[in-house]
Parts: sequence; structure tokens; C-alpha cells
Amino acid sequence: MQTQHDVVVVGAGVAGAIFAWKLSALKPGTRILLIDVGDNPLDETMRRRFVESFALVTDRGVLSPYRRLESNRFAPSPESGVDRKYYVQSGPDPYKSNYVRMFGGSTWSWRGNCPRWVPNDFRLKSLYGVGEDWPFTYDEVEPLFCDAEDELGVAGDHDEQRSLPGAGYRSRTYPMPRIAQALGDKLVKQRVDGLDVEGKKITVVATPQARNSQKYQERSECLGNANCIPICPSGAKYDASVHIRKATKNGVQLQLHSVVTRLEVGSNGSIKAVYFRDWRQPDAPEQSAVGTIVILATHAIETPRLWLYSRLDNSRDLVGRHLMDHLAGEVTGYMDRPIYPFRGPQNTSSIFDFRDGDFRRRCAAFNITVGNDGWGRKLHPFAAFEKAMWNPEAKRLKHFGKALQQELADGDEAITKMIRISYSTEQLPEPENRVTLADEKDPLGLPRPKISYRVSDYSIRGLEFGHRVALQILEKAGAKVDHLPEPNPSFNGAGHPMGTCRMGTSASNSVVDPYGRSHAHPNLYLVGSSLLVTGSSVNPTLMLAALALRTAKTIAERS
Amino acid sequence: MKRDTFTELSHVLTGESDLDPRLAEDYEQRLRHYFGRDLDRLLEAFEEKKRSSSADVEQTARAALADVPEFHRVAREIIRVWYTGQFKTPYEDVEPPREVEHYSQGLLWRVIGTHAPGFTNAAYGAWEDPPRKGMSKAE
Repeated sequence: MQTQHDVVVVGAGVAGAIFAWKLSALKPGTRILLIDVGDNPLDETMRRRFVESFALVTDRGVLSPYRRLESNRFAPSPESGVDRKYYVQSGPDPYKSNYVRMFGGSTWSWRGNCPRWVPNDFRLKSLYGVGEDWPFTYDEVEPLFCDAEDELGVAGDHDEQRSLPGAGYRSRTYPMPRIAQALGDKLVKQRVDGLDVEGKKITVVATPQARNSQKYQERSECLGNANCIPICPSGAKYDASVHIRKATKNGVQLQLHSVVTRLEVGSNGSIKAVYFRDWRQPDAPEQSAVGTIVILATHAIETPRLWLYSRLDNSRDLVGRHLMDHLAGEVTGYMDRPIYPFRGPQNTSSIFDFRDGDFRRRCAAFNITVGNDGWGRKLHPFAAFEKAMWNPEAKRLKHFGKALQQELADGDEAITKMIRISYSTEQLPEPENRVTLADEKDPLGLPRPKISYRVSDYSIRGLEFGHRVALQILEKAGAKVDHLPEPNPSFNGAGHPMGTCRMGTSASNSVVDPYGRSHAHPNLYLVGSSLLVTGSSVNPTLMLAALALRTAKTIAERS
Repeated sequence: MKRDTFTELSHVLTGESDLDPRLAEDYEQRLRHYFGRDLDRLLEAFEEKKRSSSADVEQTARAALADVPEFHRVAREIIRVWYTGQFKTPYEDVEPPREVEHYSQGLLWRVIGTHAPGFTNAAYGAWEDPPRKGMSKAE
């Protein structure tokens, strides 16, 4: 069965959802189809079910609310940590970031942090002799950052952000005031603001985040569920179901429970058809959708996978290359007094003073966040609870009853005193870091993504630098540090797959033009994280949302 | 009756006097499935110490636990299930909560001045200040 549309959008994460909505708003009546593997409804029953799923498992990791989705059987999401069930990891280093495949995508599980990139992020090559330059400057896309902040609903402090060293100008204020700052963050700020760390004067500032500090567009203000990752029960944290609902109100059609298997290229180089399989009937024949324009919004891993499997143009051998992530670590400790984490958002403040500087010539920039969730991934409160209660050598109870409560609430190593300072460092685009097709197949018989990946010395130096800075901040904040500095810093992935189909002005070094249009296939555009030329030191969602708006405007103007 | 003993022992082991009887019933049943014999012996030991001594209830519990490794092991899971809604079986597998309430009513969170993540009992901005003393289950 084949259906006809003006625009077919593959992938209903934040990029696809924002694109589909924006185009439908600019050009009412455009026949837009939005296809995704998910079959999740977008009403509040779904959110409640996600919260229940989360409560009833024991891992409570990033995917825990979504494990009951039937789509997982046919279109699996990679696991958090080092996934090897879906990814084929050919090394040498493990790729540690994953994503969620459903309507709304990874924004269901993201933290929601939305600091802006800085102007120098767009000019690494010219300024520092590393990485690449973007095909436009910060100033050219600044208005789109404002639009994206409005669309995602970002709470932030306009004056505070624009007066930070290296910050770009801001032409509009945030749609909402900064999020209320957590008790622990305020204490850290009190003690470290204005101090010199490694030659920089540091300031603790409110993290701009897509989390309502007041009612916004009929969504609740944050109620302090302290569960941003992996699921916000109140909807105060933005997730892309917001734009999917807005899009459907404008007549955008959804194609649910459908895995796009391949694109077909016509003789003129245009994409002729988008083939997909309804996984509810895995043996039924493929269906297809025809779009005058086709959009791939399937981010940095699935986009090259689909592109390569469809044998779209790759004559320059660029598709799938320059895979990036942010590499994250943390230092942890106990404050000298209770700060009562696990109340309010998991992160309310950051230190941005190391996101730019001349050091980027030899060492990656990084971002610092103060954690409001104890030790984050390092030690879950249930594990800390066991430590307080049980003596594993003696195999006897250490504390019980009131004594246990005292230990947990007020002891030297009370959970109430746990704090983390995290750092997240940039990776440069490197051609050998790439996504290709594995021989191994997924449940629908499609080749799984193979990931080749190496963390360069540039980023290792960034991790080491970030670690040193975070440790000093923790000490200056008055914490008793939990562990000694590591000579070889370990890291987690930040959940930010980026790169792989980057934009640029020339087909010799890019896959798409500055508006996301394929150099080779005239009716094919990409939106989302696959486009990103470099990764900055901060979260990519605001950036890719801004670019998705830009692509929608461009297509509307051209049609 | 064994069930009252379980609840009474749970009071002592958790330090919490206000325990939901429906949860007590659920938890005793779940623990009995894995720890039946050891759980019964611990409850009997507790009853016996109560009968034979006029010490306070905490001393009585200590006396019952004595240095018996199986008793400590079971007691550990009694505390854990009340505090977290889940517990470790004799094989050290984690048995998940059977109902959402097991997780959301876990005692750990109120002891550290908060609520189970995902189940707020606060309003916007409450996290700017220390928790109010004597925070109850439903704020």
C-alpha cells in the first residue's frame, strides 16, 4: 500500500516533531506524515503507565519507564551503559550513549538541560586549529535559539547568562524565570562563587532548562518529583509529545508502530519512496509513503544506518563518520551539613567557566554541573542505605531502628549530605569514529549499527582537566571527598550521539548543506543531531531544535 | 499472632511506629515466600524474649537477633523492604516491588527529608529550603 504526501518525516523525536509542527504552522494544509516505530499514545495515561513501569522495576535506569513498550521487541533501543545487544561495538573504546525509539524519542528520558552554545563553539578550526568551523555563526542563528527556547519552554536567567564570559548575545529573554535553585546548590554557590580555580574566576549559575518554573502552555510547573531522568510525572519537563500533539492539531498525520526500512532513490536522484514495516504484522509486506520532500529525523545513529542500508549517495564516504558524544564523569563527597538532595530537579545549577578558552587548542572544553541527586549514577541511595545498615564482613546488621535513621539523616556519611560535581567534556569530530552496517541483524532482519569509536587524547585531557576542576570545587565547597583523583579518568556517555551526517557548504566535506538539505538528493533533508558539525561542551537539544525550526522555515519559503 | 509480631518487630527494626498494616501484610507474605523458616524462627525468638524479659523493645530485638547470622539476614530484608519496597532473596537477587505503593511509600525517603523520586509531595520551589521538620507521608 502506498500513500502520497507533501512531506514525509521519518522519526518523531524532538527534531522531527518540532519540524513537522513548524512546517504545518507556516504552511497550513501541507500534507505531512510523521512516521515512528513507537505506538505510544500521547495522552496522560501513557505518562502514568511510564511512571508505574519505573516504580516496579529495580534498575530504574534511563529505559526503565519504557521497558513495557511492545515496540522494544522489534525496534529495540540500545541499553544504557555499554550496549552490545543492539550496537555492534568494534572499539577500540566502548560507545556509551543510547536513545529511546518512540514518539517523543529521548526527550521522554532526558534531563532537560538547555544552555546555549557559545559563539566560539562555531569556529573551533579558525580560532583554535582543531575540529571544524560551522557554515554559519552564532549571530546568524541567534534568533532561532530564542525561538527554540520558547518552543521547548526554557526557564533561565537572561541577564545572568548573557553576562557570562564568552557568552553570545541574547536578543530575547527566556520565556520563564530561572528554575528555583536547590538548597545544596545555594550552599555551594555561597562558598565557591568568585574563587579562582585553575586561573578562572568561577560562578555558580542557574542551569537553563526545559522545565517549567511556572505554568507554561497548559503544562504544570515543576513539582519537584526529582525524577527528570528517566520520566517526569508532571509533564513540567519538556518532552516532544508536546510538539507531536501540536502537529496533529494542525492536521499532521501520524504513522505509528512503523519501522522505516529503506528509502528508494529515483533516476533523478530524488527520494522516490519511503518503505516501512508495521511491526505489529512483521510478516506482512512492506508499505510505502511517497513525499515530495523527505525528512530524516532519526538522529546520529539511525540516520546513517538507514542512509547506508538504502544505498543513498555516499560517494565522498562521509555518511556515518564523525560520530561524537559528550564524555561525563563526576567527583562525589559529603557536605558538612545536610543539603537534602532528591528534592526538586536533579540539576539546578552549573559552572560554565570552562566551556571556552585558549586551552581548547590542546584540550577539550567542559561543562560543570552541581548534582541535586546525591551521587547520581555512582551510588544509588538504596546502595547507600545498605551501607548504613549492614556490615558485609561480619554479615550482621550495623544499625537498625532509630540508630539507622540517625545514620541516614545525620551521620557523617548521611545520604542527606551526599553531593556530586559532574563534568562533561567535548569530543572533536574524527572521521574514524563512525557508524556503519554490521553483519548482525536486528529483530526485523535489518543490519544493526556497528560503531567504531575511540576517545582521543584531546578529550582525555578534557576529562582530566574537568576532573581536577570539579575536585577543587568540591573541596572548596567544604565537602569531604569520597575518593582520590584517578590517574586514568573513567567516563560515562552523556546520552548525546552527534555528528555522522554533518552540514557544510561543500559536498567534499559535508553530507548536507547549512539548511540540512542533502547535497546529493535534492528532496531529502536531515534534521536532528546527525547534522552537528562539532559538539560544544553542553547539551545539543537546544541547538538541534533551533536547526529544525530553520529547516522548516527554509522549506516553507522554498515551496 | 504471627502477623502482629511481624508488625511489632518491623516497628523496632525500622524505627518507625506508624506502619501501614496493609503493607505489613504484603511484606510479610513476600518475605515468608523466600525466608519462611528463618522468618518464623526470628519472630518466635522475638516473642520469647518479650515474654521472658522486661527490657525495652529495642533490647528485646537485639537479644532475639543475638549473633544468629540467619536472623540478621532476614532482619536486613525486613528493614530493606520497608525502606525501599524491594528486597534481596537468599540468592541476593533483587525482588522488585509488587505494587507501585511499595516503592512510593518506602521509608527511606521520608527519613532523609524527601519523597520517593517520581512521587512528589511538594510544591514548586520547596527544594530551595530545608524540609520542614516532622514531614509526614502526605504533605
